[in-house]
Amino acid sequence: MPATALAAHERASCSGCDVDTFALTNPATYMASFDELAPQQAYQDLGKCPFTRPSGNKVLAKRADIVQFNRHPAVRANDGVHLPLGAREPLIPLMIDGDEQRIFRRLLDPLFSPTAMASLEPEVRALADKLIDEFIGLGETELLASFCEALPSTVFLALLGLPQEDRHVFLRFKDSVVRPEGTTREEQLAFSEREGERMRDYLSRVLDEREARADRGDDLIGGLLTADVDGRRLSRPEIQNIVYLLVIAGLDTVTASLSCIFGWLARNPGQRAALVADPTLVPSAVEELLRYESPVMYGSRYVTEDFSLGDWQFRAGDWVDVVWAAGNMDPDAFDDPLTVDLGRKKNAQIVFATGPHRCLGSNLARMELATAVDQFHRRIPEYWISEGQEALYFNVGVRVAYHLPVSFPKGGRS
Amino acid sequence: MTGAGSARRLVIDRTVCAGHGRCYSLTPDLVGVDEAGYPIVLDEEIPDDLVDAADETVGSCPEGAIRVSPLD
Repeated sequence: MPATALAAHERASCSGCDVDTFALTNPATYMASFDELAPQQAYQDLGKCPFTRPSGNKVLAKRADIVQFNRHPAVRANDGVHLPLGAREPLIPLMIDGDEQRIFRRLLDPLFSPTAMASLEPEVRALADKLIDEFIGLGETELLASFCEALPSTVFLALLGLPQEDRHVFLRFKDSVVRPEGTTREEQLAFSEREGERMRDYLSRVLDEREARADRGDDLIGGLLTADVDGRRLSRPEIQNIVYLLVIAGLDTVTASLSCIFGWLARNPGQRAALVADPTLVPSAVEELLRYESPVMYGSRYVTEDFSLGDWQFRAGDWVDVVWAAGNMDPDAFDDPLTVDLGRKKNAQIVFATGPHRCLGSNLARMELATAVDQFHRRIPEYWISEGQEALYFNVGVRVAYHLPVSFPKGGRS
Repeated sequence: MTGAGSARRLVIDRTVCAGHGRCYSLTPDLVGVDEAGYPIVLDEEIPDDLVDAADETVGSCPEGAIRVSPLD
């Protein structure tokens, strides 16, 4: 099956290792560590021996294994049958592979190139300012909604060319398919499929209107409507499929990343002050907090042919949970991985995945995160978790600080 | 620092590069970027003052796709 959240009792089924070296000696602590503020130690422990879950899913947690595995030609993103995120067809380009995937990436990569994204930086900075204006006089805010969610979703809807006034529709949709309601897997799949159907209908209406216009627009949807793929136009279902995936990807992960980054900085005043004092550290600080927080914790992969890799024997039909968050805590890949060093050198973190499915929006994400942190610190250099409250994290699927009450001097920096 | 006879260059393995973009972000003087976001090595030789930066770039590639190699 595709990856589901890892539970402590599953970890306890590992038999091939020296349990004394594990935090596992106290399963209660271990289970709690995934749910609480800092799952990093738990992720580091995950890599201590090859581990297969009771479901049969193999768990890759060593950085070197993850990188080698992901580039193997027998490794696919999906089996074509079990489709998460409310998808009815494999989503392009995330759930397709091989030549077909490469063709679509050749089309989509330039739309998200670093050069294209850098040109959006002034708009992102202006938007960050506008959002900050709305709460800076209050001395406190629920930062998840007022900033972490508002900023990337507004940017992304503008980039795609979707109506800003329907922002709540898109936010509800991505929440439904990333964190579906229901207590069983079947209930969750049914729930996300229903929500997915509503979004497909919505996008269908948007594309009808677009196609009826003489001017297709210079936004991303306009680009897809006029794109040339291997000498042909994209079909309507393909465009709808791509936009469906982009809505999820663009609205959820940067929000989660911003919440994790600001949540950490709010709780670590000394390192935040150093960052405020030297804004040239922002890019390496963003990279380091992405490594440490690993908002996108893992991905699913499907194996199509038998092959071996290091200690692993993979079989055709295997599902593999590739745990980026564990790779980012791997002591063989990072010096002192549990320590946050905002100026860390040689930080080859893998939160954007590795191999052919490297996050399409990684250049957009990095630009947004760096710009948001820099502009926030210019306006509000001092902030902390509001007294008597705490930041609350959701650690399943995508790690997010879903409650992030932040206080600061009224007016920020005078 | 490198001296005469130990000239180095950056080499990118195109078969494993996935376009993460760390190399051209960290060392834009050594590595450029094409329109799809994939790197282009700019200079045949790494100048002495960028040897450490090149080393940092090599260590920052998530795919291990870039290395320093003798210039021959």
